[in-house]
Amino acid sequence: MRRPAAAVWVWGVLAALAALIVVRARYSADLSAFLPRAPTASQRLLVEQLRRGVASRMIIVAIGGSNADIRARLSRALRDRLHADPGFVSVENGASATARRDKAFLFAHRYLLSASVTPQRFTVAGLHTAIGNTLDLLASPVGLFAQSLLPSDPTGEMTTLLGDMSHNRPPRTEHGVWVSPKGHLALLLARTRAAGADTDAQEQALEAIHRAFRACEAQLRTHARLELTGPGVFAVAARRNIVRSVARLSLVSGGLIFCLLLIVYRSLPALALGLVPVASGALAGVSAVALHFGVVQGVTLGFGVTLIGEAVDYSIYLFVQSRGDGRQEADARWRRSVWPTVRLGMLTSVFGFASLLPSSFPGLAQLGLYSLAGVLAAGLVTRFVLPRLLPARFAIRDLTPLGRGALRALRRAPLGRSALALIAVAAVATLYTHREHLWNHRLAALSPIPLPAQRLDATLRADLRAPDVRYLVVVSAPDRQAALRGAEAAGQELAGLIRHHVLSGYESPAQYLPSRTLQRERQGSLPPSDVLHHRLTKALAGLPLDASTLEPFLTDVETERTAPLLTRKDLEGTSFASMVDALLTQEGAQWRALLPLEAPTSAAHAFGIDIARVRAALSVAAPARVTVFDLKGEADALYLTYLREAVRLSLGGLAAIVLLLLASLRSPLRVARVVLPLFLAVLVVAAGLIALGVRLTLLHVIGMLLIVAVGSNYALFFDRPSERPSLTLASLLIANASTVLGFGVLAFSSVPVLADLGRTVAPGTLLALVFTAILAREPPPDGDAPAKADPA
Amino acid sequence: MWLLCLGALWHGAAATAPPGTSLDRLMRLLAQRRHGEVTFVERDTLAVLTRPLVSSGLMIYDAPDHLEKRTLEPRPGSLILDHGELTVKRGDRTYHLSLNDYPQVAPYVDAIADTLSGDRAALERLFELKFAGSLAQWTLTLRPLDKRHSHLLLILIQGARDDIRTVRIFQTNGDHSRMTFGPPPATR
Repeated sequence: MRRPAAAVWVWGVLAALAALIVVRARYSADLSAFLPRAPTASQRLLVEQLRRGVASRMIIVAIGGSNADIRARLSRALRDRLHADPGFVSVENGASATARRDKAFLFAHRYLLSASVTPQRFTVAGLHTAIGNTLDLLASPVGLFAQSLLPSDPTGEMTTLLGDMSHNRPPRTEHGVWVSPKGHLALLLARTRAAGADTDAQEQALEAIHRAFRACEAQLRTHARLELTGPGVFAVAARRNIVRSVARLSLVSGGLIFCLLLIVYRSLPALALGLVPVASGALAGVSAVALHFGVVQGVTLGFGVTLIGEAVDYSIYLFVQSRGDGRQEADARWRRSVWPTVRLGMLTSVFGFASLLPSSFPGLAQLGLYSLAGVLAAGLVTRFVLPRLLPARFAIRDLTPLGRGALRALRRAPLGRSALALIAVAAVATLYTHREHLWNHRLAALSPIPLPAQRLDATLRADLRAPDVRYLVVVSAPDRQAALRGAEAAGQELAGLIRHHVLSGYESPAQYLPSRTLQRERQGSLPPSDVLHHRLTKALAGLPLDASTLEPFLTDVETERTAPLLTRKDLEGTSFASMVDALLTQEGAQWRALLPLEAPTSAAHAFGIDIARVRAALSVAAPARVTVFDLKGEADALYLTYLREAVRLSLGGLAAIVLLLLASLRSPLRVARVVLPLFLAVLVVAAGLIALGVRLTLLHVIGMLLIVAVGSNYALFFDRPSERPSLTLASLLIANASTVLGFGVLAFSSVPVLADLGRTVAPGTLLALVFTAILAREPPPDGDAPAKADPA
Repeated sequence: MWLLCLGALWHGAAATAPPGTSLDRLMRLLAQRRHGEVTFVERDTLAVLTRPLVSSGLMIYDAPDHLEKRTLEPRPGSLILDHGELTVKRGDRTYHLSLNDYPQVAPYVDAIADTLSGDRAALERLFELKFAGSLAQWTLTLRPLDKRHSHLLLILIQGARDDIRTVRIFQTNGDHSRMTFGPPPATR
């Protein structure tokens, strides 16, 4: 009977503690894994827009199938139902009732809101021109409608306001509701109250839409198709995708490795014991991430699948190589001959993963910490705990025949050297010819949203003529009023740019809630009743209009002139309230007004906004601080930082691994021999991906680091003379198979970051083993050397 | 025998010519027209105004649903109807209006657009149609069917073959508008 080992007790206590942490940890599968940990000022704005911006709350609803009339009726019924749902700020489908309250607000406050209210406009000449213009509009079918407004709005402020707010062409209308250009989809635009990043609330909103739609179908006794898109839809789908993917991946790769080991060991106890380091590693990994980051990302657990592949290797080395001896002897041999190699391999992995820790991409930093802690824990458990847990007559199937076969193959392996040289040259040539197109520079490369969903989004957006907001003018100021004044100043410059067709329009919180200064200014432009009456009488000279007709105008102007100024509260009940809340934000002592720009829609200017001109125009007139912000550019720049950082970290990790090998092997030649096949494996995998039309993302880069980190284990075993070469080889084969299985399963994930990693590491580690074998020194003789006494 | 055949032919022809035949022929004639360009003079008599508004300009039509009214006098401006969307240009400002947002305006625009494209079915969805006269000299009377359009009394369109000569709109409140079309400036 062995002495009760302290190591086992320590392990038990730690495992229990870790299990407790794991159970109580907070898990998240939202998109925050992809957003920077320590953002710069402009990145913070980007993140805020992605999480809480106006665009983040938009859900586009498309109704297809059935016929146009039914679709229109469904659209109206759905709008009515959702309109009553407090989860939605607004639901628009083009039906006129939607905008009635908004129009009433605009009409009631037209003299405080209209940009054309200036002192000049209420002079005799100004009134004459303004009323003349309105009369022009009357001379058309539109006029027959406009004439009802004439007595109260002869200067046409309402037309100005509506014109300012409808710079872009509205979606096509059929049967009274918005439809796609071909008319086969009815379209609605819903804005949720909850922010786009509030995935739970978004999920509820989506469910509410689906529920309401089913109710509408039942009500109209029909069946149609419902399609949804928007940031919230993406967030919910991504979360579902990540959660499902991670669960499936863990199950499948776990199951596969379970089967592999069962086939190899033919022993359930061995299998169970083999999983001890894996489970310990996973517990250590998750609890380390939970303790350090506070929250565990779903993708991290997905990456964690890879840990199974690495950690299970250690027990394979232990079981396979300590077979067939007495307990004492096996233990000694393990410690003497195998463990040092495993330890060095484990340390190279640790060094590789440690290099990811400083990453500003949270997913990557978590992957680093998870794997580092996991590998370390698995290694230590294999060394100190597992041997003590082995039962007295522990035996697994004899793998010598497998090893012998492998040895025979190995002896022929050097024949492959010329082929390897050719492959290497071809790989270099492939990379060289594609050197312009190696990298994927877009943040979308990391997006866990499947391509068809992205395409649907683009189509529906175009159909609804609701393009993605790309450019934002941001006015920062110390208080709300200053921000609004800044927005007004910027708005004047933007209006000039609209006249020059640089943009087709912009939105501004000041359009719905002008600064107090401007409101007072506009009130000051309105003459007192008697003065206005006097001027009006003069102004009407030569116009086919009688002053007595315009009594309502005089009354309305007088009311507005003396009315209290508009506040945010007055917007309540209109869709402008949510617009102002979204476009006028406070962060600490800073207020920010956001002015989204709309690109020109005419064909001549279809290439978007000439942002340099916008910057030049705005840099002139800025009382508050004005910046022009390119959301897409910022997002891609963010990704580029991730990518550059990943390359830098990987190179750092590589350097650390090489230094470790140098320190441990003490021979540059041996280090070169270990590293060369790994380098070739990385090269060939990169070339293979490129040849298949893949553009490399940062996860591919990290995958390459992992090829070196994991592959060095194999190379080290080849580097050291083994006491039992055939068993060493057999254990390497099994270890490699389990790694390839683990990452191979990852390669089929629908989450791009996981798939990229799997598609790099699975073929890479396989190639690392093959190339190491091909480049190995003189292979050992057949059969195991007689166990000679080791001097150590 | 020969007479019998002729008789059968006669009957056959009569069977395919229902009472609305002149209207159908007019509609077919109008539908054949792919492009048109005429001058117009418009005279609007509105109760709120002390005298009628008179304006003139060019009207351009491209089948099936592009209609442009280019006012030249007294002040230039334009009004374009394209796929049910109205674009109004005045000075350097452009407004986009969906006809749907202005249900009061829709019947006027639809009446003219559907007549121009010879779409009888579309007209009959919105109006009660009455054809009078002959193809050489016709009058089409349109009365709105929809209660929501009760502000509109009737629309009278007069023409000769596929030439539309005048469009007159009468409102329930007494306001009325008359558009007279003439040949395009080039052929004048």
